[in-house]
Amino acid sequence: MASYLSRFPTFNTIQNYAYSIFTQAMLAFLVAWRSLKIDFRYKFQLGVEIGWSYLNVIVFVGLGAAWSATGGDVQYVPYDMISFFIVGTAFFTVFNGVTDTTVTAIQEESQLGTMGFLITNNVTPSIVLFGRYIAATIKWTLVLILIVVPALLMRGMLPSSLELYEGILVTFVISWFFFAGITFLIASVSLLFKKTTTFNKVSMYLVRVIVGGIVPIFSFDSATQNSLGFKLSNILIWFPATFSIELMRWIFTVNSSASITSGGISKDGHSFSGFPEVYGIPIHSVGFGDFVIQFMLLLSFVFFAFSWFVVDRATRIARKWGTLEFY
Amino acid sequence: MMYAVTARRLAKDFKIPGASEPKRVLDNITFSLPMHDKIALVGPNGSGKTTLMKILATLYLPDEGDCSILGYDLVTEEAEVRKLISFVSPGLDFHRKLTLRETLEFFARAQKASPDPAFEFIEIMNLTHKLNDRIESFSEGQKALTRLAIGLMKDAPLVLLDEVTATLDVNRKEQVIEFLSTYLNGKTMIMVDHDSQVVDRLCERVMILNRGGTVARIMQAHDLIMELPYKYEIIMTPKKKFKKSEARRIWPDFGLFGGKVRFFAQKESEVRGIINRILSYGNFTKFEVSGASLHALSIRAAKPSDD
Repeated sequence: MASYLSRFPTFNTIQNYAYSIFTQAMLAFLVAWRSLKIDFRYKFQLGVEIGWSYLNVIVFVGLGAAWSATGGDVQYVPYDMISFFIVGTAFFTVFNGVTDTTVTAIQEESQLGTMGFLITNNVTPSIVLFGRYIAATIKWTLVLILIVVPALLMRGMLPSSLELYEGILVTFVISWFFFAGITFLIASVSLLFKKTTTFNKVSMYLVRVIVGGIVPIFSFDSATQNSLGFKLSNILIWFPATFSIELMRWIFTVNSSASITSGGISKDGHSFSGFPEVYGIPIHSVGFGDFVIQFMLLLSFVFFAFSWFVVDRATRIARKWGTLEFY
Repeated sequence: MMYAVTARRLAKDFKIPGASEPKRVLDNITFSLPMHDKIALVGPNGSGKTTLMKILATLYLPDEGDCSILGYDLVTEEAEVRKLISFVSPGLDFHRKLTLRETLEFFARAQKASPDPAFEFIEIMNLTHKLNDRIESFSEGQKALTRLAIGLMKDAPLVLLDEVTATLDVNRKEQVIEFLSTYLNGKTMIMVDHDSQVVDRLCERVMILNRGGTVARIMQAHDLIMELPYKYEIIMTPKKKFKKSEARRIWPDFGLFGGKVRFFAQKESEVRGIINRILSYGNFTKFEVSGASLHALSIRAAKPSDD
């Protein structure tokens, strides 16, 4: 019995572990606070980023309008292509910006030698990355509010009920962990190799395509149904970021939360089946209580934890190769 | 005897782009550093001084050998080692948009230390008026002092100083040496510095590394300084091309390199004489006086085959 009990961690071990997590979290917030100060002091860069985001919204809304004008709206779904692009652009304004800012900042920290100094003080690149990711999220969410919310207001696309706002929060949290994982994986490469700017861009571009940021995921359904016997969107939707962005589009477009499950009429008069009908996912609500939501959250979190582990491994290799700092 | 650092057969390889074999930059480094000892690493460029410092600071992993620092293994107990060391590297730069105060406070929190020792150092160095200025307005010398201030926060028993005085002017260098000679009491210190005056006043011993990263000799710092053929260097930058005959008229012991002239002196009185002659000559943009460089001597002390 005694030996069985000795396998369990003692109270002191748990206490030390909890203290360690607490101090690491404090360090991440310290890095985040410093990063926010720096970001908002580079006013020209901030202006360019806001301008770039405006340009993105304008270009993609134009693309959506052109698509709709040529009769390109897709069957089953409650949104037209303008709505498709507005939500997609909003989504990627935040997560593309957050990933890009975080990875670039990590390269800057390496060039400045800060990364090396912090490592010699037991502050790991993962903590620096996480802190930078928090700061970038705050910055890009503010940019989003400045740019995309007015566009959504103009299209009358803000969610129609309070329950749907919970849905937005849910999808944001899923995506936040998922993109943290993507960011960590890309950053782990930048710890090992010196010039990774193009790699970063290519990686994010691929993610954008796979999650349906550029082309609707159901565009190829009939082709895959005929040739392979299944709908491609039914597979891609299990990818947490795809699930989030797709669910977000429904949330912004439907009249009520009930419409997501049972179908109905969208704000702009589209007749549609419910989300479960289209994707075959047994979703009953869009809150944290839904099983599918919990599953997606878990999936994202596990992916994020795995990426954290990869960064730690990459750090060790970088210490061996001497690529951790390159000034 | 208690040792602060014990290194046995340490080696480090780096991959070189385009080369099939990695390049060995440190090889068979073996030494023991008693507690409270102060030692300088000197050697020609490429002898691995900074690489060794970075290994001791846990920034690089050694490829061979083992090393313990204050009783902890450098590789398997790195978290403990990091609590006991303070590494000041010339490679540390700062975010330009942050003020000196913000920078010091950030690094204090990151090290879980009080910023007070840094603020005191800043006051001694007469930099208090810069506390609310952004780093973008700082000179290289002021950045060097900021690095040192950050390194002082932790009050670590083992201090690793990599070229901390290299970019400082004569007065600042003197202030820093004065400060460090008191601060380092009771601490163990390893430093990289080419200035013989700095090494002579702060270090008891010198480890000379060969090009190729092997230990050539470990000797008393004072003995090494005594081997130097001169003690001071006066480096002058003339306004126009300088002839050897002109240099000889100022002082017979000199060397021309690039667009500059180096005059070598043994005594302070000789330094004063050289300065007076340079001032009378007048046709120069600047001149500076420093202790004799250990760099040249370390090349001589290293194995001939390595050069």
